[in-house]
Parts: sequence; structure tokens; C-alpha cells
Amino acid sequence: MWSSIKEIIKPDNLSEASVLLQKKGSVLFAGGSYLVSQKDPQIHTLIDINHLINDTIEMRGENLHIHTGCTLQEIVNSNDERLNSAILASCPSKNIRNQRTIGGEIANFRTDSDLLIFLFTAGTQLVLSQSESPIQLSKWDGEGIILEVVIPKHEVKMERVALLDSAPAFVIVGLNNLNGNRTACVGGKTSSITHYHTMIQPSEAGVRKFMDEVEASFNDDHLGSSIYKRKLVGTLIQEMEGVR
Amino acid sequence: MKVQFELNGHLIETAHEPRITLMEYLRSEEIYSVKHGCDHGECGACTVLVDSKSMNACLILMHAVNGRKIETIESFSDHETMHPLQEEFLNEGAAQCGYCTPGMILSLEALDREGAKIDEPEVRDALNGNLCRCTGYAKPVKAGVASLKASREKGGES
Repeated sequence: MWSSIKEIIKPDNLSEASVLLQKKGSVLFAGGSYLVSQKDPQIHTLIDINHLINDTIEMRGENLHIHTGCTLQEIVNSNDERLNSAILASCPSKNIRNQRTIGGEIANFRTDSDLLIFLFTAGTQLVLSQSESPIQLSKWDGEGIILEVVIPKHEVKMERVALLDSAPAFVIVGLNNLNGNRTACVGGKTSSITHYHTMIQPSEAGVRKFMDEVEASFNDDHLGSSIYKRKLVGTLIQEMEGVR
Repeated sequence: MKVQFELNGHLIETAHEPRITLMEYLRSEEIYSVKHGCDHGECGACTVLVDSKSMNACLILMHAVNGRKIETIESFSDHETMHPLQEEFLNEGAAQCGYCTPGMILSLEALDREGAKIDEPEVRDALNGNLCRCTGYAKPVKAGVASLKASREKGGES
């Protein structure tokens, strides 16, 4: 059934994997996230990096370090309740959680992934194969092989609006308010993930710009107009902040 | 591409094209408890145990089973005796057409082997990837809770 796949290559190291990845029709493969989320007939080569990445989870100081070979179920078995809620919302099937890795979840970059919105909101950093220092997930351009996901101490609250609990949400809002650092993040059935961060009280102009970007990321569709979804996001943020 | 793995207690050595999935291989070997449902990992009808974890065989390429231990429901019983989960499904009337039943039983067996606590939310979570379109979920959940709790109590006594 996966008839487009002609070759599976196991590179000796990450440098070789990076070179192979430049070839058209090639994708990285670890837990199988690619297979779950895409069936692109243009893809003919899988670069298996399972043997090159780790799958450990550990706390270092106040940061949670998750190596990208960790499956979502292995993370659920650890003890971050808010992170776990985001994973369960993103991936209700335990069968799939046993296969899908956190690296694959990030690389697929689905705007309707509750887990991705959580990671954005928490201020997650990525350790990449060919980069000396970690970079913010919100600034990642999709290049490089993710080795490690670093989630700082957070106070993330999440809200989602979906037609069914088990369905992908069409509006997902994350809010992090830790020691004066405020981050808001919006995804769902959107063209992009909208992200707002400030270390001071948000300005009226800043909030308006953020909400304009949020509105622009939505389409008018059977779930409602983009103006309706903008108002929905505003209401959810107010509720999370305890204003309403 | 050559692979070596354990299937239902037997060592298997075989070679396949890269595109072949575990589901396709198992059905070609007449292991028909592994159903060809959605082919997208949505329905769980092709559930197998891989190193005691429940996974969808339609999403596993054969190269990924190298060195792994694969179990299907064919290994759970002989023609004389049934696995306790199978017995409880029968007692509870938890199967109708039976298409999803092997996958459900394997998902519940994986939960038991995890050593996790057994209660209704855990059983429902374990069955979350197994869709049923006739019996529904009430009876399989009830059968799962009853069987796994009994299994734990029995294990505690021994």
C-alpha cells in the first residue's frame, strides 16, 4: 500500500542523514509519524534515524529534556500532567502514541496539534544536529535534525474547541504566565501558529496586532467566520486569565 | 531487505521490498486475525503486540520489525482453552461481528503487561485506538475491566 517507498536507508551518522535529506523525495523516519500523517506519493526514500537518536527523558534543573526518539506514550508515562493532557488531546489512540515520536510530531508541524501549541506556549527550545546552541521552537525554520526538546518550567493553560472531544480542535489556545513572562499562542484549523510573547504588561497595540494576526490565520468555513473565531480566542484567553 | 524477528514464539527470517508493511506480511502468512481495515492507523483492526506494546501493523514497515517480538491473537490460545480476556468477552457478549475483537483483546493485554492500574478510564484509554461499529464500547470495557482485575487478583494471590 505504501507503494511510493522504494528505498529505506540507514545512515551511519547524522551528518550523512542531513546530506541524504537534501535529496528530493526523502524524509526522516523514526517512529512512523510520517506514515501516520502523510501519504505523499512523491516520497520514495525513508531515512531511518532510529539508531542515531536517543529516547530518554530527564529533568535537568527546572527543564524537562526529552530526546526526540521518545514516543508520545513514553512521555505520557512520565509525570507532567499538563503536557500529558496536550498529548492525549493530540493523539487519543494509544496504538499510535506507542509509535509516534515527539520529534516526528514537531517535524510534521501540524497547526492543529495540541502538543505543538503546548510546546510553543511553554517556550520550548530545540537542540539541532548541526547547531551549537538550542533555538526557540517558535523560531525554527524546519531545517536540521531535532535531537532534543527542552521544555522549561511553565504555567501553561490550554483550551480547545472541537466538534467532538476526540476530533482535532479548530481553535487551540495556550497561555503561559510565569514570573511576568507572558506568552499566548493560537493554532487549530489555521494557516500558521500565531505567537505572542512579552515580559511586561501587554500593550493595547500589541494585543490588537496579535489578534489581527490570529484572525488572518483563520478562514471562513463551516465552523464559523474568521471574525467569530477571533472573538472565540479572545473569550478563551479572558477565561484563562480569570477575567470572565 | 532482510529481517529477522520473533512471531508468536517462532523465529522468522524473511526478505521484503521496502514498501511492505507488517500487516501485509502477516496476512500473506494466513494470520487473518490481523484485519485490513483503514490502512491509515485510524481503526486499530490490525493491532499487534510489538515487544508487548500495542501498535497498528498497517503503519509498521517490515524493516522496522527486525529484532522485535511480534504477537498476534493466534498465540493466545490453542483450540482447547481460551485466554481469560477471550473468555470474558464471550461471557459479556462483547463481540458482535468480531472484526475489531482481536485488536481490542491485544490492546487490553498490552495494558495488563504494562502493570498499570486497572480501572475504567485506563481501559477506555487502552481501547481508544480500536474502533467498533456494531457492539460499541460498553461491553468490551466491562469485559476488559473484569478480566484484568481478576487477572491482577489472581496474580496477587500466587
